[in-house]
Amino acid sequence: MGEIVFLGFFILLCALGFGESFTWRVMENDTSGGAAFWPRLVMAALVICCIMRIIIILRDQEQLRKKFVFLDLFYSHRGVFLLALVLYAAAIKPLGFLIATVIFLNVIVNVMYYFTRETLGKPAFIALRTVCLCAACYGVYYFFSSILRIMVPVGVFGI
Amino acid sequence: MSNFLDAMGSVLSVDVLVLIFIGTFVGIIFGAIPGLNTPIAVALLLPFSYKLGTIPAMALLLGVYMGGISGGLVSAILLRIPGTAAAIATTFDGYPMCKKGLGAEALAIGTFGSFIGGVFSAVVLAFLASPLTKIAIQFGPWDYFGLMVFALSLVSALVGKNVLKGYISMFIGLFISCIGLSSLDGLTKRFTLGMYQLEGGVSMVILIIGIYAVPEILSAAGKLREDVTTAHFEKKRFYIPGKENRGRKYLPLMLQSSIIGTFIGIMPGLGSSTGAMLSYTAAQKTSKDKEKFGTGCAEGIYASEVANNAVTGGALIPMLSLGIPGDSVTAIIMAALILQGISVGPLLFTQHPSLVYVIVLVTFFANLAMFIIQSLGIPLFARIVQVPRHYLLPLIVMCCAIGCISVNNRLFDFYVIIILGILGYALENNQYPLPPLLLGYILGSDIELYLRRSLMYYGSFGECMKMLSPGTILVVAAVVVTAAALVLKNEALLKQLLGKKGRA
Repeated sequence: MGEIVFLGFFILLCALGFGESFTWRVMENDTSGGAAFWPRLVMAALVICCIMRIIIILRDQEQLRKKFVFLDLFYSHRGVFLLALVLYAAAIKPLGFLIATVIFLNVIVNVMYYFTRETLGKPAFIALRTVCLCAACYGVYYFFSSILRIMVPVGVFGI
Repeated sequence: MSNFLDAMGSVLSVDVLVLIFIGTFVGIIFGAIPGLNTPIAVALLLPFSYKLGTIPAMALLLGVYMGGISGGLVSAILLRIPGTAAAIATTFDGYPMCKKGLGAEALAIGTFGSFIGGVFSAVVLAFLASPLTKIAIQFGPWDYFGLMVFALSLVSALVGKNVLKGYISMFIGLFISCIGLSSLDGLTKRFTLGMYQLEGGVSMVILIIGIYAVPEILSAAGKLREDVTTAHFEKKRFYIPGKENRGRKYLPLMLQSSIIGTFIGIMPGLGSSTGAMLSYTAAQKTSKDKEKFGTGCAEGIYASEVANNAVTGGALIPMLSLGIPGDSVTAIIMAALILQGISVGPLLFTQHPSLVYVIVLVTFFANLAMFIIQSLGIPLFARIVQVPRHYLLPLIVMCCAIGCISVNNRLFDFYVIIILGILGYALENNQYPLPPLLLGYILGSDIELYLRRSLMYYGSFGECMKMLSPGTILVVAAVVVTAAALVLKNEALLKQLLGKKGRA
């Protein structure tokens, strides 16, 4: 059933896209169908394929009962990692790349270490791990920003 | 002959050979790190090349090119994250082989395959540059359209177990390629949701990281307590594939993949990812052990790696003989030649004949350098998979973050990879193959461009189909491949659609 919802999402997306495509301009001398021609073909083909797949699922009880793997992404260790990833992405702009990455790395590595070993390790080891992660983070930051001259986001602290 | 000897004398100098090694090493590093790629490396080194002189500049830039294309196999095999689009097909068998504990062997096969493909294309470049280019330029927009449609149908129908899911994936890829300003006229902002960041479309690097890296990281985050794969490797300094994974039985496959790669390279715009995908599907189709593909077989790695490196020499052919760059890297290399005061094109062969041989020889030596560096580096690379996941995954996220920020110098792309990652996770874990999606995205804008040009030129689709040209034959072949795959590979699908008993 989950797969039907998933395919239904694409059908809905295509329906909205199809509607939007009628607002696009076509040049008078354009004999190729205009900017909407190809996307409409693609969306129509995608909808047809999705409908075919839905018919197949509905006709087969086994496939209808088959679990659609998606929601487990939001539970357990995966959910924690995804949440950390989203928070990291949100934190880069206000904190800057360097600070956000240092925080992300230290938090997620310790959390994942705990998930794996059910302990955080001895205090000296935690300190060593923190220093190594900060050094790795700064190394990457230095390589990209100073050597490759890539502009990484700078936060409220100016770094 | 004297031109060749002059070129040989120039290339065999210490400074040129050192530059080839430096360039190749830099290329491998840029190719291996997801988010960085060969065009970035070549562009960064372009200012340095200006001061070097023509031959050393070619040594440096071509070294980066050859190393970069091959370097993508490292992360593709060890982490299932293709460093470059060219290495996507390498993940199909490289990663399963690595999971079996044969990561070092998979890397050795990939490196050896890359070397063979690169050398083959250098030989073709030396002897067949001019006649092959004459054939390639006879291809019109309709023929390009046919070739791309054929490539898409072949990959969608053959990769993965379910043909229909392959096609759904492909159309999602084509849909993503429609985002941004319309091709041909550039008049319309399509599916941008009012965001200026989407006007340029979704970048290829962003899509690769989003579709491949993020789902893999999220999957691995749920298996933290599973044993870390241990890459088996004997203690030796220089790795070549084991006896069972090299030898005469792979020669026909290597030849086939080299020819496909070189031919795709000659076609401007198709690129090494298309070459590798086509070669993989062709190898799967012609193999006696079709069922082994995707489970970690040497043939799969050879098919992909031989072809993607064969593309490099092929892409240089139209650049040298016509002044048409085959891809973005050759465009930058062409710019480097122009900066040196050399005009590329038909006159290059008469005005600077020895330079053509220099480029051929540098291509050869760069492939040799790539083979040596990667073969020596395999023990180091193979240890990556032994790093515990609780360290490895966050570090990969950091590399992906800075890699995607570096593409357009904006944070927006990092948000896009999270959304694409969730989509990729859903597709991947429900047996929707990802390669058709990626190929659909890569070829999407060009297919549209060539189709619309054909329609403008010939009037209608019917008129295009009436012509007896390679394009028409390939479009018909694409339909036949699709129909044949539906019937042969998935009889149950037709039965179910018709309401009879069966299972897809």
